[in-house]
Amino acid sequence: MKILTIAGKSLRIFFRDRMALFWTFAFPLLLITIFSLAFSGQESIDIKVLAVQQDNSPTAGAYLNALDNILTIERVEDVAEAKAQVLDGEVVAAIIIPPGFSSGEESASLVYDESRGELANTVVQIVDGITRGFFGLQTPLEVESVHGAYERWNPAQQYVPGFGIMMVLMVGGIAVSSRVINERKAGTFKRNLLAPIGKLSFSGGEILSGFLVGCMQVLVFFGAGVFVFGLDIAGNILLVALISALVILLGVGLGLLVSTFTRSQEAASGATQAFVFPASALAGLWFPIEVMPEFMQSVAKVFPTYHAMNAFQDVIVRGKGLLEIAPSLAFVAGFVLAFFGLGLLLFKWEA
Amino acid sequence: MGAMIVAIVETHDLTKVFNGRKAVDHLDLEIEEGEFFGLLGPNGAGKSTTVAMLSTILRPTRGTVKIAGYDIKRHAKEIRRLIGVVPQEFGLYDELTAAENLTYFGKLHGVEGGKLKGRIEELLRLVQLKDRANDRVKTFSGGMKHRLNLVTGLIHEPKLLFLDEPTTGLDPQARLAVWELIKRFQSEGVTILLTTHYMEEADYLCERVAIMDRGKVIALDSPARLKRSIGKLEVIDVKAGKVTKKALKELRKLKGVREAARTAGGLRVLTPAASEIIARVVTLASFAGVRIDSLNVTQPTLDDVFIKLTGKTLRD
Repeated sequence: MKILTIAGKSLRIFFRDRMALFWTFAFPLLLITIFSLAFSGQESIDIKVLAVQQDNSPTAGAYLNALDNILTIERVEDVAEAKAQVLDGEVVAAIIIPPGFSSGEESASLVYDESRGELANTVVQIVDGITRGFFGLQTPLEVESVHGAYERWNPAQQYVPGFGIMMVLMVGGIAVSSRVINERKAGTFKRNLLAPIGKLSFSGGEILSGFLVGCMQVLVFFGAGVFVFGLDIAGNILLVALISALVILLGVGLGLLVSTFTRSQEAASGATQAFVFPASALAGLWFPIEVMPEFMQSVAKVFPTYHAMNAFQDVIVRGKGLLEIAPSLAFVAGFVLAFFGLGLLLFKWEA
Repeated sequence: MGAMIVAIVETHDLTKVFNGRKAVDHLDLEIEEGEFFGLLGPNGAGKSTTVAMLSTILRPTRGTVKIAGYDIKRHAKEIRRLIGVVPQEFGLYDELTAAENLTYFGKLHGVEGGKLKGRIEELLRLVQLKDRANDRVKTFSGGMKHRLNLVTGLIHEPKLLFLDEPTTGLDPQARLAVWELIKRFQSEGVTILLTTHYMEEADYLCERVAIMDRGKVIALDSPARLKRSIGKLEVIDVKAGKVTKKALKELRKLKGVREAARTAGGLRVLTPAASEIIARVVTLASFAGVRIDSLNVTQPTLDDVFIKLTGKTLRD
């Protein structure tokens, strides 16, 4: 129970520090608000439709050209691939022109994602209208709806987890390392070590308080996301909690590690930022990774932040399950273990 | 049959080496239960390193330490239940109130509930901070922090209390108040190990004093006996301007001078017959270009014991 006493003490001190509260809760909310509002008017999706042309007749080609006048037709080879992209929410619809299309033996089929709502209806109407115009009343078109993983793009899907990860790491890193450094300087560290408690209780108490602050941050950020910015979570909310827990531990582990090689609060803050800023900017926390050059996209993959963001997006946007996000979680967990392992190994117990 | 003397602290061959330098050098020490014991020495003598090892937070390079019969290497937790430490730096949480600090450290030592509450009240009353119990420590004056720091080490009623330079930075009046408080702790049966570089402090408070220099104990006895040990010497306390090394060397060669050392405000000269050499000291000083402001003949202090043993003052 000494762990709870130690954690309770640290939380009490934390909540009395107004600046700490500002940087922990208010500042990240401000960032999320500014970015969400700034990008709220944007619709990032073109009306792009995939086409699999298995009939190479001039009729089929002319038909697709007619569609391409209004929609953006992108040709792919494989039916399965086209359908998978619709299911994954990457495109709104795909049209398949089978080999017997021009001879009238087979109809074209339009596969669309009903979860795209108005956009999907528009695409169906456009394709239907052009087909009727092209072939007359006997439209050789079958329409098939699927429920894809796409959820309407909401800036909160990017900025709540993005700035959430960044600020949880920042606060975890700076708060934990600064607390250890301050305790060493103030002499309270020595006094704690002189109590009949194990080293594990002391570090456990500090880790627990850092973890609880992180939990509160995540609750505030996602709470604001859902209730203020209309964030929809397509997948299981428990998975969001699981990813959050790993990110919080990553922040606390970072703080522990930073405390082993810094001697002042300023140095600890600098060292934390030196990791968190690149790990945020380059790993797609500030803006979607897709807008970055391909080379930078591969660089991003070395950061645990990239994999944490990926896992969040998979669950929140694409509704994926535990097995699908397991590789991302494993990558983040590897960093958590490395930070904690090094942090505890190099920790200076002698005051 | 007389009462059996129980050693609460026993060290044998205790040594701590930092980067090849012996901070504590083969220390053998015994402190009796209920005793007020002082470790006196200049900064860097090894006092704090000794206390750090005795209080279990620093591992010795060599040797053994037993506290109340417990070995520090094997029974650190048991020892921590028995000892209280008042560190030189305050060791208090500024953002917590006085009562919260005491509650926290009390709980860490396993004191809970009504007993803890009662103890907090008692200690805050003792240091006249009861009406400030719920104020944050950051609003306290230096003296108040000093007092709270002292009693925080007593929250769990330790049998052995380590006081590390408890009056450093205090004005003479506040220092006296702290001394009275510390004496009260001892009268309640607590064994006290005081480390200090103030000879008056050791002289006033301690029953026995170990004088340390360069990691070794160079003298150990009661303050009175230590002072007597330097023989029937008198001390010429000279308040003067800058005393050069050369002047000091010449002075030491002077007939009748047993030892001489520079102090912060001049120098001290140990001699069997002050009246016979005063004139020679003044003449030599004047030849050496040392400006003399005043000159007094006094009785030896513990500082003079240190001067006699090392040729330096405690404040060197």
